[in-house]
Amino acid sequence: MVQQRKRRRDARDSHPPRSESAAELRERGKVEFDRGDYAGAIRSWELARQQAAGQPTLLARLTAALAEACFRRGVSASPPNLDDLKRALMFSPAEPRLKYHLARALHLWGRLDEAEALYRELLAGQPPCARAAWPLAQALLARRRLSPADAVWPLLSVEEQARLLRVQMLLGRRSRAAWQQAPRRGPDALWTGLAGAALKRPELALALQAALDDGSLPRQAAGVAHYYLGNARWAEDDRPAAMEHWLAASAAGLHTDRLRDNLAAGYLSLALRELRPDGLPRPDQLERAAQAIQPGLVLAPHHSGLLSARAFVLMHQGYAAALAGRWPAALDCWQQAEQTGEAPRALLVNLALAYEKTEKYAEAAERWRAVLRRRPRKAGAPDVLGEAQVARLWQHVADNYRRAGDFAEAIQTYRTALKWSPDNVDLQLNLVEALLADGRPRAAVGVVEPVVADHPKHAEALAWQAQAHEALGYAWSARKDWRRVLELDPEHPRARLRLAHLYEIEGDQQRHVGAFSRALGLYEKALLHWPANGRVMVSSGLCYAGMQNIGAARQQFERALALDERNLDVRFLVIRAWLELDRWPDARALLEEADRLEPAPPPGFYIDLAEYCQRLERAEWAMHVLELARPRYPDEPRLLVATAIVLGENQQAERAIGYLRRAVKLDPNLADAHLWLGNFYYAELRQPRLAARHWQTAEQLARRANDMQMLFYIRASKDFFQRGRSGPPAKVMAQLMGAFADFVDFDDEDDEGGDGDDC
Amino acid sequence: MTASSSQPQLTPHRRQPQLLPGTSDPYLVLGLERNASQPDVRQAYFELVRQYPPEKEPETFKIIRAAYEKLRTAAAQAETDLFLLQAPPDARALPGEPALDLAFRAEDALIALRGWGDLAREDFSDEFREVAL
Repeated sequence: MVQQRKRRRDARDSHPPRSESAAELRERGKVEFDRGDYAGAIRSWELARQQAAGQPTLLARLTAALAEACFRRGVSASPPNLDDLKRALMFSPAEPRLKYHLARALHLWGRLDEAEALYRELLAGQPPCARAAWPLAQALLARRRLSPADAVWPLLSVEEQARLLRVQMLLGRRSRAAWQQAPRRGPDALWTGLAGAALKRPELALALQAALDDGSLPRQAAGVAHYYLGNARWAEDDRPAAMEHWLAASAAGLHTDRLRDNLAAGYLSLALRELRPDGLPRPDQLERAAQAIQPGLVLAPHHSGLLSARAFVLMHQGYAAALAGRWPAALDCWQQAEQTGEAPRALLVNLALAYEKTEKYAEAAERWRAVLRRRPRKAGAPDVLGEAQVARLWQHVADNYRRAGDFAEAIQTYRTALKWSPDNVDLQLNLVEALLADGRPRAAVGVVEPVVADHPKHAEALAWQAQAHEALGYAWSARKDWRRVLELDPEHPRARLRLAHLYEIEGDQQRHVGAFSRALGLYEKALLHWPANGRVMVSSGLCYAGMQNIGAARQQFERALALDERNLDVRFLVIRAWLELDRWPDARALLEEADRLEPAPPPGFYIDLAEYCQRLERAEWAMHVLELARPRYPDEPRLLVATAIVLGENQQAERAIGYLRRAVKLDPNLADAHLWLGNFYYAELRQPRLAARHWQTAEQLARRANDMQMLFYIRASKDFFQRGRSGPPAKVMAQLMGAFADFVDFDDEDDEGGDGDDC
Repeated sequence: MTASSSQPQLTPHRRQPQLLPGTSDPYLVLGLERNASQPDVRQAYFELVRQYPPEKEPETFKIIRAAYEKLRTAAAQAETDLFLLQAPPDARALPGEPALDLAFRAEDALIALRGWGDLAREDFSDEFREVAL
């Protein structure tokens, strides 16, 4: 949206509205011209000119203004803009200034024929444009056509003629003559120095230095002097001095390819001196080399030598960091090395390892893939990989995809690995695992069943088959598989755990339909495989209670608690069981025992128990639970909400609202508190506007947290009360909770619909 | 936990063992070059075990043993080699000394000559004229 707005604004700025009058456009152009926006001024005046067709005076003024704007824009560009200068001359053809600058621009662009013609036109004009003589002479010299017989020669000063002759000598390979004739002092000592450079005379430096010391040498000429002084110093192996001169040449505006290349090579040479010690380069040497390389790359970003040296430094710095266990730093170095374009296989391996260490598994997988692509393939090559190693690397690639959560890619890569090692059982089982993780149990069964058929005594294969069967909902087949796993490996931890779990689920199903004896048998089997499972012991106790054998039930509960008295999950289940059996003293004793534990149970422990008491319609038990928790957690907002609910149940709406307000103050983002405030305000205090405000806040918070259950409660509460129904909020909510549970249960049953075929 | 001063005499293809806990490179631990043969591996292992017997230096022995396990068989060694940190390139991988162009070019005289006059000038604002509309 912002970008669209910006585009619209740009478009508006770049195209003045067509409705503007010629006068407005003229003024607008003037403002733009005065602030240096020559492009804007040209645009505005062009439009104004179109509208001023019938007004010759205005047209002439606009044309002159356009010529000036084009001239200014053209001459300010570096190199000068030929098109602008041509347009300027087109607008004002009689103006020598504009012709001169077009000639100069053509000269600088190397179009010497055209420049020469314009220079000559200027000199032939009335009055003659004298300033064209000097550049014309230079253009002729550059084309080796300058002669004292030329008409331009007499127009030059003696000094200019002398300079041209010296340069002519250098161009004509008459350096010796130039060397002998040129002065040793003053700015023209430059030509002596250049002749010395051509003749490779050691005194050249003296002459160049004298030219520079004079102080009147033009900037660009000084740049050339510094460049050759740098060359002389480099030849003498005084590399720092050479670099200084080259940098000075660059600062003086000399931008030749040779200067750039020599500077880059100079930086590389400085770096190489640091990087070629007897042994491995030390960290300080690497650092100095890196400092030398950096400015070189600014000058010549694609210099292959500098890039190689940078990659070398970074690979070493990365290696040192990795050996010290600083993997993020190592990764950073190797990533930069890779960006230089240098990616030997060793670097790819290190990058892959670093990505793994920093848990960037998708990137690691890609680098291992690159390692595989770049593996030597010619038989007999020193690092050639065998088929098993290739398969192993593909497996590793797939493992990384799996860790990255990209199961589809993992599956495909495991299949590639299997092409290299088709009988590799580990790989096949990896594939099964990935298929299961990708939610494709049927495909997993399709892979694992042939493996089990070929290797009936392979416990892991059987375990994966069991898991695949479980995922398909084939509980009976899964149990059979797990039992076979245990026959092969009686201590197989996953098999014991899963088998116990399957027996427990079936036991629960039997218990819920009142088949307590059968459930007890199944729980015993579960305990056989997972003897320290307190949850199953509590379930067994509930079976005995169902059979009216409270003594045996108590024994089971005590057995469960004895496993670990600090296990709050088991303790919670036992307390809940006693509550369900309407044995409050037993429940309370365990609750108070739990309350004395250090550290104390978390607030959720009390809140869940209070809610359970509420569900049993025993508000007094709920209040006792909450009163036990309150001194421990006086400022726990969820506990305050739970207390408010119980108070509401006991017709203490005002107190309940007080608790809820405190909860909201402590945590303004607690959707639950807002929902209940809404309910109480509506149902008990008859304040619908206040209620609506709290429901709205609750809804916003629930939507933000994507809490569908809370959204359901809020909407159902609003619906219930606003339709004119009434009732204590706690009762209403209990009904709504029941409705929500039915709704969810219905969904679950629907999901399990396809599972019945196994049984 | 470093090697004591009584190091064994090293054969030319061997390096100083690095008996540091957490060293993931078994070749470094056993003081071997990356391309060590199976007999080299065994020899290095037994030499180190003699020097650090498990009953006297159990922690050091654990490091040695763990490294040996990674190279114990040709298959284990091949697997280990696949996932080893690769040493950085040596100086031979560096580019050669760069060649510089130090020769005189006559064209540079022309470039210098441009310094006198307008050709190298960049600022012509003194030639700008006012616009009358």
